[in-house]
Amino acid sequence: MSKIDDILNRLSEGIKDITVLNINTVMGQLDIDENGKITLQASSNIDGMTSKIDLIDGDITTNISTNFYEKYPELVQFHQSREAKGGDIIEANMSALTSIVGALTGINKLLDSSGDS
Amino acid sequence: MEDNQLIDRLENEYQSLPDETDEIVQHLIELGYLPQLNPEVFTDIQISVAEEAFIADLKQADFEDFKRDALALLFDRRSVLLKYSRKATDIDEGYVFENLPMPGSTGMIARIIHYRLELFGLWSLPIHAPYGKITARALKQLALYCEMDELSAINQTADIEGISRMLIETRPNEDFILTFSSAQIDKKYKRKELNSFYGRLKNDLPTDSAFLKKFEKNVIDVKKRHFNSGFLSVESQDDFKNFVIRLIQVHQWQEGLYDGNLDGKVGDVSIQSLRDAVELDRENTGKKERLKEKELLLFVDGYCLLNGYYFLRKYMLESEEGSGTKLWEAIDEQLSRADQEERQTYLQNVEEIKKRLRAETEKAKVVNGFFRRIYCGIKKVLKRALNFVKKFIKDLGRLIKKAWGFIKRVFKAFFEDLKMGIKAFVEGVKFLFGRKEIITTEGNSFLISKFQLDADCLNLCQDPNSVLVQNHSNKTRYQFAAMNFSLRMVVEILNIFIKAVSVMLWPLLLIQIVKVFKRISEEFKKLKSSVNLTTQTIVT
Repeated sequence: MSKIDDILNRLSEGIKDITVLNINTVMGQLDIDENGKITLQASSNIDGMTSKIDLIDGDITTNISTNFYEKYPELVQFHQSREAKGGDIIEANMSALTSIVGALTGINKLLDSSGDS
Repeated sequence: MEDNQLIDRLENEYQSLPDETDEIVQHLIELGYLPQLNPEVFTDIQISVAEEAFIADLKQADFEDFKRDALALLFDRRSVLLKYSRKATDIDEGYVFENLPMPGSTGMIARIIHYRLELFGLWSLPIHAPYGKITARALKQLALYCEMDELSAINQTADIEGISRMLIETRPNEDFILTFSSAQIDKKYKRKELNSFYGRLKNDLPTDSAFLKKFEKNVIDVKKRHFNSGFLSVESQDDFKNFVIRLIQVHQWQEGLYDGNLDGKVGDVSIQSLRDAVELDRENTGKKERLKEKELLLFVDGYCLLNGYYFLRKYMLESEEGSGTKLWEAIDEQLSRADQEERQTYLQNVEEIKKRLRAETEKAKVVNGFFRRIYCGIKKVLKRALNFVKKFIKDLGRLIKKAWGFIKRVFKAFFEDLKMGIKAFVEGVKFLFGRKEIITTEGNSFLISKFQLDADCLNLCQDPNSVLVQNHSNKTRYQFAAMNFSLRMVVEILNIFIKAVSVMLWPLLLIQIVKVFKRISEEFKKLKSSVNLTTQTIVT
């Protein structure tokens, strides 16, 4: 697969569902595996807050643990700021993505017509 | 060109660009954060301590532009240090101040003032010395030369072209007819040369000029070369004229034409730099308007006379038109008109410049006890280059040989912009290829945010505290502004790729990357100023 096709595929995977915005803030003991991937330890106590925002009908569902709400107001605020910014980010990214996909498709067409690829 | 080549080649281009010089260390020495020693002797710890002190002073100085960029320190400390150390030592478009510092201050503004006074030969104490009576005395001298108050005078030194223009417009023309002695000066001269110099002098000075009369009496009307060296000796000791000699030396240094010591002394290197300026002017202007050496310089009896009025007005001021930021657009336009052979030649010449820059270790150094530094501002050099941009396509090879000092300054700026443009592109592609992670740590505390293109966000925390959350929040905000910039670069560069279907178009592509990088940077600067982004100073 060419690099451009690869980018196009990854882009389509990355934007599977732009109508629902998921913001999750979770707290616990973290593990880092050999590939540098960071995950929560399964055995640790997990606190946190999750938000699911439906951008079409405007429904917002938020779940938050009591401990998290009481002890970490800064994190609650940070989480909320991500919610607030989500719509703007989608808009800005989609605008850039439309242009990027257009440009990549243009390159592919050009290469197809020249038989160069 | 195959699509794999498009991206791979850009990555290779990035790797092949000249390495950054150790510019930050030079500026830290210039501003007195490090002693004037050979930069190679400093340990990493010494440099790090100096950088911290520099950043602390920048924060305290409360410069508006730094406040906007303070968050970038978290991500790209080196770029921020480079940008602001360069800005603090810039005399093309340097800082202007609202007030002079309080006595005893050793902060950033006091250092910049001392640095500029030292450049103009008015300061001999350490740059980090406290702002005090000696500073006030030196500023008074500068103010006297400029015929304005001290604050306005030091602000004038933020723009060397401006101060030159102001002096030319306000001082009598004869104040710029300069005399200096040097053992290195060739005593021989020809009558024809004397007449040329005299002819220009009569043209530039009013007929009742006291200098002109003295010159005629002591140099022109004497028989058998019995010049009155007493007249020349007195002239060579005039304080203001020595200040103008220093000013011209600084001009020459800025353009890469002079790499000797900035000491106000005129020897072979200074004279050669004036000859190089004549040569560069030849490329720059029409035949009639050209600066002529025999009208500019006269060698008499161990002295050299320089018509600084003619030089400053003709070479430094009159020839500079248009904006330097248009240079890349102008090269792009010329390249788009050029035929394939010309483009290929241009490409080869740019490769040659790249190789020479990579091979050249351009570092400030201490030679015979003097600190030889390289000027790093680019406004003036780009403005001049704009005047003969047509020759960059056809005659770049010849210019490399004849005016290397100048050409390397222009292309260093080009490679810097290209590097930053490609870097932003790569950042954007990374974001497109996978999840973007922002990680903030403090001891055992972690806060990690993973972002996806569709704005989904996962925040993972371990033992968070309020400082960590605040830092992370700032980082996230900055990263999103930077990401938008990178995505814009991706869009623009991919669009350029569509046109770049052959290797022959590669030079066009590179120059267009630089062009769009400059344009998008300008747009983002405006955006930042208009929305007045909240910034906080973060200590990491």
